[in-house]
This record gives sequence, C-alpha cells and structure tokens, in this order.
Amino acid sequence: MENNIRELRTLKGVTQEELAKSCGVSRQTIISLERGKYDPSIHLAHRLALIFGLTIEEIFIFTEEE
Amino acid sequence: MSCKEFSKKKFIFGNGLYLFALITLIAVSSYMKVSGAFTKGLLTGFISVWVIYLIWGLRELRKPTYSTDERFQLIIAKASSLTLGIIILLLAFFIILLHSNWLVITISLKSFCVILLYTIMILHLTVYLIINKLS
Repeated sequence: MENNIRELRTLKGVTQEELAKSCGVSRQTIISLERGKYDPSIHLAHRLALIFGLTIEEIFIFTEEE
Repeated sequence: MSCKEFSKKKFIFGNGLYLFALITLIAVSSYMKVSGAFTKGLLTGFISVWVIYLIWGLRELRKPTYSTDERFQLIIAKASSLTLGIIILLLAFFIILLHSNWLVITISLKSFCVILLYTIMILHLTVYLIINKLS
C-alpha cells in the first residue's frame, strides 16, 4: 500500500527516530512504512493519523486490488 | 498493535521465570542419564540467554527502543509458520526415506533429535532474516 508518510514527516520536520518514538514502534518499522513494504495495523495507522492531524485516507492510498 | 513499553514489573517477572527454570534444570539434571558435558553445555547456553535478557532488559528500561513492535511480531509469526511448514515437509520426506528399502539410516534417536533441533533453530533464524530483509 502506498502512503505519504515520508513527505508528511519531512514537512513536519521530524526524523524517523522521533516519529518512531511517538508512534511506539521501531525506526525500522517507519523505514518499511515509508518504502511501502509494510502495511500497518489499524492502531498504528490511527496513531499516525493523529500525529499528522489528518485522516487515515489522507495518509494511505488504498487501491481496488488491495 | 504497537509495542507496549517494557516495564520493571515485566523485567522482574522474566528474571523470576529464568531463576525458576535454572533451579529446576539444576535439580533435574542430576536425575537425567546424560553426560556431564551435556549438562554443562545446557547450563552454559541457558545462562548465556539469561545474561542477554538481563542486558537487553536493563537497556530497554533506561531507553525504550520498541524493538519488539507489531512489525517484529508479524515477522516472527511468519517465520514460525513458514519454519513449521518446511519442517513438516522435511519430516514427511524423511519418513518416506526411512520406509524405503534402498536407504538405511543408522543414527540414534538422540542424534536425530539434536539434528532436528539445530535444523529448526537455524531455519527459523534464516527465514526471520530473509523476511526482515524483504519487508
């Protein structure tokens, strides 16, 4: 699943480490998310949405195939 | 589900479990019909794992790393199920080989168990590393 995490994080001016800490996950998870290799749980997606002040749909791009 | 912070309570409970297991191991080892070297090896391995847990736990209490988050748990789950599948297939193949007339395997049950244990451990680690790299 594609997402805008990298862009949003850069826009917010936070590092991967800082974002990982505020989400309660490892930095490796943030890296995998940004690369689109890992689909997060609904809890993590919700937490990211809260951090960025957006909705889940605005962060993650859902496609019909998925 | 994200990782819950590692607490002092969990750390103490974990160490308590290790202590209980170690005492049991020492108590039971005298009744086991195994060589002294085997028992020493088992104890060395057990204590090494405990020391790793101690260092990791103390580090995690001082500075949480969330190293066991949802992604890690998912990889472990995938690696475990994949390892189980491969082991079942290997054992099924091994059973067919043992029942065939053209192959005679003369290893003891003890050796077989040791081979099986090491195969599972190495396979699990390999599969974990591959999935970790890919995801």
